[in-house]
Amino acid sequence: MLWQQCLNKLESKLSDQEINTWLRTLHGTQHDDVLVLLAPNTFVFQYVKDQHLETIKDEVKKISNGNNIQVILQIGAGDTLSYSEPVPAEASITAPSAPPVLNNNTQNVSNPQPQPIINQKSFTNNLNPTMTFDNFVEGKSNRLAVASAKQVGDNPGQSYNPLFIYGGVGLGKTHLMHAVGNQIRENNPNAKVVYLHSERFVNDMITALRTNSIDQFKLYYRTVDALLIDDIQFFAGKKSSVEEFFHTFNALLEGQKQIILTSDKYPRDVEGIDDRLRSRLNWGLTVEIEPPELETRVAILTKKVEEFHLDLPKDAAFFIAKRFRSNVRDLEGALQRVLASLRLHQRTDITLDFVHDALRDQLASQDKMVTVDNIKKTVAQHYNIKTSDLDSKRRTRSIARPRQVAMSLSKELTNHSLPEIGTFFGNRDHTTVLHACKKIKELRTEDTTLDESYRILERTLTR
Amino acid sequence: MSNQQLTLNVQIRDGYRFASYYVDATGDNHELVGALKLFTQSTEAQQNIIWGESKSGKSHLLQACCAEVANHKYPVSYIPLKQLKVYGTEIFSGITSHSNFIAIDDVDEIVGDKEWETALFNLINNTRQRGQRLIMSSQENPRYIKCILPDLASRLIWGGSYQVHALSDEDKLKALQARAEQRGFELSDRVLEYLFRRYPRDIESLMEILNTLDEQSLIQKTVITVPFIKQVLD
Repeated sequence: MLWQQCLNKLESKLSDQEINTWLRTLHGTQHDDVLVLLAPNTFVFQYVKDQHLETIKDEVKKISNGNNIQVILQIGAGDTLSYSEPVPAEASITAPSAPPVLNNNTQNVSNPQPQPIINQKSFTNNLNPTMTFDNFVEGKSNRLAVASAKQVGDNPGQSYNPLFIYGGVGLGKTHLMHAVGNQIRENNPNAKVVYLHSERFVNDMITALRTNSIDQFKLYYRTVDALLIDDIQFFAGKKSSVEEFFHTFNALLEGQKQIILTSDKYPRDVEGIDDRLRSRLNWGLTVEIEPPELETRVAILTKKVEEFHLDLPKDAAFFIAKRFRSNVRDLEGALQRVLASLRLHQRTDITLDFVHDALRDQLASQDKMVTVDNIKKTVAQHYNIKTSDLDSKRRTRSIARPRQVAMSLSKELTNHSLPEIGTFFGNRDHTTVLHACKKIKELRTEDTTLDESYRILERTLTR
Repeated sequence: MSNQQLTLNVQIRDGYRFASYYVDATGDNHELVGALKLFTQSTEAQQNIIWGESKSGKSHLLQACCAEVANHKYPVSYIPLKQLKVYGTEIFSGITSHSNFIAIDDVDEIVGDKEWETALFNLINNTRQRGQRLIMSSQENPRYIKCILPDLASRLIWGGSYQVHALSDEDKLKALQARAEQRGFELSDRVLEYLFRRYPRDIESLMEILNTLDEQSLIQKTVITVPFIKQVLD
């Protein structure tokens, strides 16, 4: 292939960084005696044009033995992405994915700005077919959200509209949203379901305004059967987009079309959106997804491993779930590391020792971070007291309770013995530490505020 | 965007390949390099991040990945943020619809800048959605990088996270010898001792010095000795 040959030649003339940053990103295709080089954006186009185009032309001339091969540099997307069957998120609306336009002007930008291709014929749902209810692990932390999502999936526009799902990062909001979309499509393959991130809505609107196609934009979003918009907190401060979204929202609700939204906060607390929209968000059902508890984390890991036709022993699953607890992405990251190590060592059996070994870097850095001193500092900050109060003899509840929390966290998150932990807290006896751990365990089942504080502290200390 | 703006001061370095990355069979980075090789050979959508102190070889590894993938004729995008941040988030545009393999070097460079964090957040989402491979690097352990956007922080640790361990002095000596052998010459113990005593001891600087000495010794047609080093470098 001509472009590959040319790259090989240039490798000996230019630095690796120059090659990797600018030239390997070009997608080259030959059409008879024309070599078309596609750059991903104006920036790469301009740099290559200014710095390397002449050299490329010279090399091409040498390789083709003086044949008059024309080199055309353009902005555009290549066609080699099909090998992994991607969901064409960008290509559907903004990217100029059509074959490059050949013309007589070399180094020409035939299409410098992506043109929106929104029209009635080009509905692209952007749904990830792998995110379904079947592979969503249900637990105490998300039960209500799953039940309402399934209800909406079976009765779009009729049961809960809008469905507003909120919760922290990496807890499965997006997965649930895709699952609803896929469910709607399964029940009715002709349903026009569109999933997109709020940033994408904003960008599409900007592009539509710039290219005088705002009417098509409005038509596109106002004629869907279900609109799924992720992370609406990203609308914050984008007034005209919020305004447009508000009108789209109203049009869809009036037409009994389904709307599903996610955010990191409860509707009342989402910043940067106007009150009219905020109040309408409460018209339907608002459900929260909370961080998964230990058993759910274990179930998530087991399910993920099953997808690879492997078995994860319980002790190994519990070990990972206890050490990686901030969110599901954290768990997935740890698991990916274990699976990569498994492939590398050409093994198929996962054991606790193997998991220990595969994750040793991460565990070591966690251990460095989770020290008793760090726990004391974090707990003191959380309860707004002084770190020295935790070591003091004071036994008022405002001090004693945080001290017990800190002791319990120290037992759970470090390898120190009970006597050692006692010495960290003003030389207390190990029986005091033991009592603190039992007390906190008991209180967490009765006092939701304390339980929530404990979980926040756990996540803060182990993320 | 003027031409002058686009002229980068990128030094000529060669050999950013796995073969030229020194790794001891029993060393800390052995598993890392093995995992990255597998990553480049796979066409599955995956994400990895490598982290470690400055000049520990992260850029070398990211570019070795790019070279490996490019060998299979897939377009790759290597984006060193330390150098390219100045040009704005536009450098990300179109990348996900264009490249099969994307490498973002020096993520820490943009942490704390909301516009950049949002751009990287979108890039990660897009690569996921399109089933592409993404590798990033940072100096900080990604679990503890303090992003403005928690949405980005959680995405940085979505895939495999590997520490790049800096080489010990003993391993650096072996690495220099290995590179010299690849180039067809040897470094005497005296030369190595002199280099270690007089110049920065991070592996990146040492390799740059080796490149300079190699080039000059070829030009001057002489072997590398301590007086020669003094003449070239001092």
